[in-house]
Amino acid sequence: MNMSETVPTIDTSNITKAIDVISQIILGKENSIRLAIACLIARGHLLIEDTPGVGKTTLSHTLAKALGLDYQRIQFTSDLLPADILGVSVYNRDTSKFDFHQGPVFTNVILADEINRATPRTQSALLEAMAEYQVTVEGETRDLPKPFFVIATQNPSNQIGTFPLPESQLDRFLMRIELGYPDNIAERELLKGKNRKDLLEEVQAVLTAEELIKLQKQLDSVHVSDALLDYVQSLMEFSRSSGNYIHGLSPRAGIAILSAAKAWALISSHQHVLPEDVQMVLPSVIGHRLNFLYDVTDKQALQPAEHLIRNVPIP
Amino acid sequence: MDKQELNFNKILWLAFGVALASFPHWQRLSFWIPVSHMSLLVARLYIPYQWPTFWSQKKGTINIIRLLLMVAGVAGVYISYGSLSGRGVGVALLVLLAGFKIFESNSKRDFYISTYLGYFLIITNFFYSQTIPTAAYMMFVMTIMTAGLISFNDSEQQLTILQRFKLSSSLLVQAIPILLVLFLFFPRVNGPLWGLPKDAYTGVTGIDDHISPGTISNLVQSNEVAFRVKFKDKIPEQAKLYWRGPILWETDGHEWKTGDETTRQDVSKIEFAGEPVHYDVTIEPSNKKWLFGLEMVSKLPDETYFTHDFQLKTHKPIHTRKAFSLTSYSSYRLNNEKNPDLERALILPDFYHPQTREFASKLRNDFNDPSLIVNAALDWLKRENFIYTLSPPLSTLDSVDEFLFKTKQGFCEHFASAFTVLMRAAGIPSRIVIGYQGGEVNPLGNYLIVRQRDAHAWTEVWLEGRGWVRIDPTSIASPIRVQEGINNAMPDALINIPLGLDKDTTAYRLWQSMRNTVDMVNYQWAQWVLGYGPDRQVMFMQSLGFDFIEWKELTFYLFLLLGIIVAAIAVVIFKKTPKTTEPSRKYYDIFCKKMAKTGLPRKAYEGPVDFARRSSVARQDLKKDIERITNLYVLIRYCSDNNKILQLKAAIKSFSPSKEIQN
Repeated sequence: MNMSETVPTIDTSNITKAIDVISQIILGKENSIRLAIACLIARGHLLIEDTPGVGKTTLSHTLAKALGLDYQRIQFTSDLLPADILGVSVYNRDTSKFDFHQGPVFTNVILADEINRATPRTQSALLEAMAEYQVTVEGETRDLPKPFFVIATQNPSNQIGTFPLPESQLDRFLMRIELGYPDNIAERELLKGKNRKDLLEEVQAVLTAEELIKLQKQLDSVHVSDALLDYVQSLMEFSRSSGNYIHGLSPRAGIAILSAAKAWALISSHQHVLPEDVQMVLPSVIGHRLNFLYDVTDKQALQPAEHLIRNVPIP
Repeated sequence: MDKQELNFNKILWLAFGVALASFPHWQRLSFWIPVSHMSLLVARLYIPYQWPTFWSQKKGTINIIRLLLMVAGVAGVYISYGSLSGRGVGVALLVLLAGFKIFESNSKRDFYISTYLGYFLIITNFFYSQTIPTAAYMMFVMTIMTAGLISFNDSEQQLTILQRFKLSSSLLVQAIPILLVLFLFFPRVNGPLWGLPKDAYTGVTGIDDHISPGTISNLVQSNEVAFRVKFKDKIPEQAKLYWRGPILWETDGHEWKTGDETTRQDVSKIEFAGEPVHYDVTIEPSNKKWLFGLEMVSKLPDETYFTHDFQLKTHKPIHTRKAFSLTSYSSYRLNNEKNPDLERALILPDFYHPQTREFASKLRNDFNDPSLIVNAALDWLKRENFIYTLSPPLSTLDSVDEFLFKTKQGFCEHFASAFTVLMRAAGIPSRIVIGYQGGEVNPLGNYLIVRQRDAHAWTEVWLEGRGWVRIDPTSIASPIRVQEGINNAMPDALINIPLGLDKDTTAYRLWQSMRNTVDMVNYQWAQWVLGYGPDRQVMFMQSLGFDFIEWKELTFYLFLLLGIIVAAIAVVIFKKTPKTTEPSRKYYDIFCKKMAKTGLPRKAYEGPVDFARRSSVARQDLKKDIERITNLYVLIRYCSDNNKILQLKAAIKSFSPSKEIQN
């Protein structure tokens, strides 16, 4: 839609560029890329749930590179300990002191690979860092670098040897997305093209961390009208009162919807949130927060989020 | 910032409104006040835009100039009027200071103060005139002032002038229920709530307590209504309609006066006979105390009394339109007219009217019975072919002698005074009664309009055994005057027949019926709007079923009704707003309906942009319109840009998609 009548006050050309760059590596997944970036701008963390090999790692790595961020990958296993993530103090014989060795969490982008393979104890160490943007090790609180963004991947929970994240911890993630298989054309291109690893080496940063922080701050200036708030509220109201879902959406979910929608509006280059923006982010924002009360079969095979959208008229 | 807020357009609206509000005052004020007023308005519209730096000085010559002008203005008012209080002065100051306020207006606050001054100026016009045209004009000015306020708050100046008027009129129309309730139920008290300054009651024409040749002929030029009469039964015939006013006893040979009022009289001293006539007199403000009734009023209404000579008077001068219920009997007899009065009725100034005295003594010699003398004098008047005219030759020395024996032309005051002098000279007690004769029947509403033009003077003579007998010498010279009224007796005196229309033409009849309608409306206005006092309020409340209502109860009902109205409005507003009352949404729904008719209904959960995209694909021919409307709607609804609402309304109004795709 042509929005020529709005005067753009926020420069989003770099984001568009970043999306282009990432799309050349992750083929046919533009929507997921946009969602991931929206999630990042909205200062949320991203959970990617999918089978191995669909490009989760590549996506997070490319994202970090294109946005000019530091990147660390932690492979979660059942014997991973909190200290492996946060860091540990080691005795220094020369100075007769304990030196703190930072763990991989001290970075901008963390890929927490297969987070559901680790024990709940280890999971929670990371989740605290995600919520507080700081870690407390041996009684000392240390701030994490800014921006701090966790991309966790999770194998579908029916696979063997997993500790599925409880709902309360899923709630820490702003969005959950699925990458899914690429379509035919993308797949063919993927097969024909260069090795992704080599391509990744060539990726140039189109943004700096400072610019990203600036964008995050500009999120507040995206206009949210009363009419839109009415819409968000009717969505939440329906989730709570219709009797279709196990739990209605929490107020935190409402805030999450709104900030994700604002970020989506921002990367779509308009300065105000539309109902369409809400609808675009809704499946990823509430997919891991909303479940049907009974079996899905009679719900026209819709996801809960889609079902919710279809049932709430836009005021 | 202030500069931005008060641009030329807004000041122009304000100045225009205030100028219109002060306009009716111009003719009443010293000439220099309207001139300064307008100059100040024009200066405000000119200087700031011509010399902006000079104007925007914070402290500088401009302020000193303002101060000096202002002091000079107030001093000027004091010099012109010799006082700083009173109605005229108050209005003069208000008009002048409204000019100054606009002249110095630089901020939002100034604008509002000036606007309220303008509203106040509107009210002050009612000090002078309370007619329908005044009220209508003031309504119009009020609409303009309100439109000015709307313009002021229309930050983007998007409304057309017509739209501003529409909005402001609809605002005023919405105020009507509250206006009606306040008007009908606000407790009415007798008389005004506060006193008006003395000069509030000047400039009313009407009958006074003295006449000299020319007084009544001057009055006849006036088309103003003196009073209106509604008869309970049939309107009596024209010749019987003698509306008695002041009785004149004393003369200095030229002027006639009522003389001092002595004791008051009691109705019981009169014997009445014949059929009573019941009627309501609604008298216009005369600033005098006389009440005009037919001969002879048998019962005193409230607030009135009889003087010693049975003039019907009110205790206080009539400053506002008042209605009185009267009953009169055409036959009456006084039981004991006191002798001093009869002696007073014979006094003539020494050395005046020698010819008249001579003629009177001749009459007295020829006839010994007073009634025969009266008849002989009337016969003589008839024989001598006196002429009834509005413009008799000017008399120089002795108006009575000259009229009777030289010019033989005169108006009713000449006839009455000459005849009275003649009677007194002949030894018959006589006096002059002034008042009104006749009146014009308004067939609409079937009431009688008595105008200043119907002013008349006649004689009453005392005849032993019959009491005071009315003799109208004018009727001898011009029977038509009495039988058919002044309009027929003196067509050339009628200033109110346009272009010398012939009486039998359709145009004249049309004009006449139009005039009757106007007067009818005026009469109702007077009765129900201006005359809505305590009495009428009680009548109204009785018609509602409240028999005896006190002002306290009335106040209670007033607030109850106001409360109900406000609550009703509140319910309407609060019930509607959260849902679809937002105008942009309403218009968008209309748009969606129009789209649905083309076979493209919007799904309830479909966002406007999605819908636009989908429908544009289906209807390439409508793409432009759809995108434009959706853009506007999105901007208003989701970008809170409410200034686009009229554009959206217009765009949707003119959006008429065809059912089929057009190529």
